[in-house]
Amino acid sequence: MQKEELERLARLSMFNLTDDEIDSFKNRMQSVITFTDLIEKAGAHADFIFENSDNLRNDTSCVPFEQSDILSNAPTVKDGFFSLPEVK
Amino acid sequence: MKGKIVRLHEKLINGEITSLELTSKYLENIRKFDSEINSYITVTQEEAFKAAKATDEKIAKGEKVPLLSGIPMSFKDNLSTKGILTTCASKILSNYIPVYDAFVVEKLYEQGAVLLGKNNMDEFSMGSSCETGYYGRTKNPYNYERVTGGSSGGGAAAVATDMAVYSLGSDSGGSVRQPASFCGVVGLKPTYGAVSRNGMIAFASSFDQIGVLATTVEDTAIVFDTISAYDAIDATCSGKKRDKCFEDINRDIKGVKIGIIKNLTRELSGEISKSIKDSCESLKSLGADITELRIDNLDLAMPVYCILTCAEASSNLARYDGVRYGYRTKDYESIDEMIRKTRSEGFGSEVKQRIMMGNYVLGAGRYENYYKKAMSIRQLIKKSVDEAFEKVDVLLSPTSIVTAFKEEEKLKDPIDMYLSDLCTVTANICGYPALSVPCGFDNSGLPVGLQLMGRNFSEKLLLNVAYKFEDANQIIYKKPKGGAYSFEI
Repeated sequence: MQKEELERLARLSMFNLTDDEIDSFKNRMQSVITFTDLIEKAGAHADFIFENSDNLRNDTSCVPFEQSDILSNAPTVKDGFFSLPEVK
Repeated sequence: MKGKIVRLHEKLINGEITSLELTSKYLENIRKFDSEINSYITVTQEEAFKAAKATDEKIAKGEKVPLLSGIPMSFKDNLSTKGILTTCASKILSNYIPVYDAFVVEKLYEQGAVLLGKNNMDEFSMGSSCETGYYGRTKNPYNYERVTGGSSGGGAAAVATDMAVYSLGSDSGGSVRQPASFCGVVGLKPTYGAVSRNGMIAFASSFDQIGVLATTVEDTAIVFDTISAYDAIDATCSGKKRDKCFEDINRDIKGVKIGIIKNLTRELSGEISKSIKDSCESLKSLGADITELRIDNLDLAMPVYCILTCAEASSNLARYDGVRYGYRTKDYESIDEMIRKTRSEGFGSEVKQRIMMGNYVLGAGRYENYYKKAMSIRQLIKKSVDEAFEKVDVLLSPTSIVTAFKEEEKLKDPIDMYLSDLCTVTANICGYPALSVPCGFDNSGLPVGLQLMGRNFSEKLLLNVAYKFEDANQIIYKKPKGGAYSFEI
């Protein structure tokens, strides 16, 4: 695991990592990747079949929650909406 | 062996004790032990007294109350409880108060359950030692320097020390069974789809399943019967008719075919090996037909688990951005900066690592070699286990190849930590039910767990076999002296 690769993954994951974190994650993730490489090397193979046994509900309208409930955990709210900083 | 729930229920309806008195006793135990053990993140005394009074009033009026009415219990802190803090042991949800109850919470409230509080866990269930959470580690009641196992370690410790009669946890790779094994209690991971995940905060959706921790098999069966029901809100919840497990749990197990998984019993330490051998002899004397068999591809189970759960976690945890709920960083000028700072400050290192690992295995050029290959091997493992179930009814192994290890012993090496779930992950990979029942103690007096795994929706058989085993061996009464674990069994 190269430093640049880890920084790319951190960007994708929306994390800012400190230099100490980068050093620590580099080693830890390398050992996990080496471990998971066992499956790359495994001769075993089965066809990938996507099984979907989900029970889908009928598409009916309902009002499960009050707007005030949904907004009750939001850090900032304005005029009944989630409030966010400017998109730059 | 008669469980706590029936005995406490009889005491309640006979007027020997009120639910309020019982609840006070359990809250007193929490005050006495939990400053050290740290099994609760939130204690809900006010709600508990209110629910206890409601049961007492019904009994006073001569109304019939269900078995679970007035019985004090707890939930893992990843189960949504309306109006009660639900943190997943993470800073990022440290102020989150759900506006609805999880399906299982509703089911137990309907029965008059008395909620004592929310249990500690590994952050977002990512861990096998109950050490990765924002609220500090939970200590093993048998030895405070040892871990409880995880991720549902708080619930296991609470049940072991009479700080809850039973607890609901969740199990994605062994998170109910492994802490049950380490803390000397019973832990059941039901069939995937037997219990609705509606209201459970997701880690890895195709692995997660809500399970039960209790002192006895009978208690486990009673609670499982209550929470196992169809729920249209969870699309993966099965509409299949459920067998009632508590009914005739004491029936004969003569002729039940049990297969010892050779690959999981080969390199055990002497003490665990002895406990497993003794358990097999006991089951044989109860009439079970014991054989040994080998299951192919089990050596690939842990890497498959690692790849797929990280991939699913990276998607599930993308929702935590400080916009709609949870922690938000203080200083920011743009939305991008806000989200990055919020996630960097809000998640612990284990969670960050698994999210990045998930993004690694799902990345362009790696998807085929990691994610897709892991999905195909998942099917291969299931096929191998299905072949074993053509020969036997139940598969037997230790729950863990180790007993409770020392604090921080495995934190530095992620693979070593993963491997403590070596025996349990297969049930989650296949979606099959499995349970852990205490089967002995090692030379240090730490509990050893026996794992039984069955076919889909075979909980009735698993609980029946575990009940007969427990009844014949009464391990619960053989606890070594010392430790803070349960007093009144």
